[in-house]
Amino acid sequence: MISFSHVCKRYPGGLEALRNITLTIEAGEMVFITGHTGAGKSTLLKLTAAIERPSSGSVIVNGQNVGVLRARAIPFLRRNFGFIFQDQKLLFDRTAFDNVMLPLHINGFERREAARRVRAALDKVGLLSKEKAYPVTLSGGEQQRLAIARAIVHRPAILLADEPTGNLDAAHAADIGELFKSFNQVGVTVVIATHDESFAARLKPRLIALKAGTLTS
Amino acid sequence: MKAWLWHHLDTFFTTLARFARTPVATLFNVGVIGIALALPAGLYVALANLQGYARALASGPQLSVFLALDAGSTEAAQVEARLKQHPGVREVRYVSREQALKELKAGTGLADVVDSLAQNPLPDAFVVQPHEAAPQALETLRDEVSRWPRVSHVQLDAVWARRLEAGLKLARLAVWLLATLFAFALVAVTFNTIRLQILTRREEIEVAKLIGATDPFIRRPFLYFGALQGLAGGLAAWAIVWVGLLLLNGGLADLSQLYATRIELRHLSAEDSVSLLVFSAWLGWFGAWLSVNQHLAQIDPH
Repeated sequence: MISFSHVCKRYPGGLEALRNITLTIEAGEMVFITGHTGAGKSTLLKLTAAIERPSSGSVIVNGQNVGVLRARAIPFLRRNFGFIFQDQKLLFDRTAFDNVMLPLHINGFERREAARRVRAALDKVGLLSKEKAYPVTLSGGEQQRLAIARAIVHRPAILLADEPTGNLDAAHAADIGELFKSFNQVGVTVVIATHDESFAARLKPRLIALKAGTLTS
Repeated sequence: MKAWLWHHLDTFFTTLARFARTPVATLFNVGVIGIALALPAGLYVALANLQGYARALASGPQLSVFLALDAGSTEAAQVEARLKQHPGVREVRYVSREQALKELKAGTGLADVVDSLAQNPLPDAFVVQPHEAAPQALETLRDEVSRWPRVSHVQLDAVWARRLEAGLKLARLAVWLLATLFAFALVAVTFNTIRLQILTRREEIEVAKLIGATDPFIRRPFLYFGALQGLAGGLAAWAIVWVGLLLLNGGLADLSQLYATRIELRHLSAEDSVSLLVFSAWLGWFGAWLSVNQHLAQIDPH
């Protein structure tokens, strides 16, 4: 469960990204956070994963107050999440297989078990045949699916995605929507930030709309 | 536990692979570290050898009391009795002229020369161990004994050895100074290598942090790299010293043949070798640790 209570986030320089946000996302829910660029969608995700800390208010994830977490505890909080970054953050010096391996490596999985899981994740996103390919040789849609495979490979309870269809055409975006839906069906909490309203409308999730840092619905 | 061990092994092999990927850079780094460590290590070996010889030649301060060539055995006995009663003398050993000649033949490789002598040129002598080792006391004793009848000459044996010892002490200090300086150089080399690595692997570190890697996890490969590079440098230094001694011993073999004795430089002892390797690995680790602590904090993903 993720719950925000009276959260404000002010960046140095005075930009107020979020203003007095109070919301709750239950375990197993699928939620879309919509709004224009700069509405505070990314900030909301970053606060959830302790990439940023709130200026005031509290962010509670699975009973832990993320805002006051000690630095040493943050890695363990982040292992609860699968994070799909806006800029994907794939590592271009290693193969698709090794990219997906990274979270398992960090989580200390035994090698054979890890390899099995990597292949399962790649299979899930339809990239099993490309496990030896380097990210540069993949198309935009494939790169996005590789990023998704990396986010789900350690079977996180919560999936956070920041503009996952950012530069994909409608057909590819629909594919990815279906992927997220299938994760949600097996019990994963899915939180997606997007400005793509048609993408959001198709899946009929719960919508949280942000406008200039405040909730509108 | 098994996963943890496995992870360490994995890091070890990944680090080796990283060395292999940049062979030229690795070679130069290891070379620089090796040379930097070989200088103090080589000096240390040279000193250890010199010291060994100095010790063998003069274990403690001694006086050699030579009698006149024409002194007979009764006169020798008189001098011996007088020496034994002297309060400044701890021990007296009588060396007859025949025995001295035998020792000369056996010990110095001058057998050919000795055999060609018509008569024994050596006098009877006493080797005296004094109570006090202070140079002042030794000199007083020497002056006193040399005024006795039938005593032709008193030699203070240990003075040059003590001077050598003092010189060696100074040289040892120089070795430590050098070692400190070059240890600093090793740390600096590792610091910079790791800094460059962190810069080139910045993205990887960022991503790893974002998906839940702990600081020790991120630090580990760099620490391994530093320690292994230091160890390789230590091995290179050891090899340089070894080859250097091999060459020097080759040259010394010719020289010592001319003097009919056997001079051989000894290599670093097993203990010293292990110390050198452990020390260099530790310095590499330390340089990496400094660098990682300095630069990792600057990578804070947003």
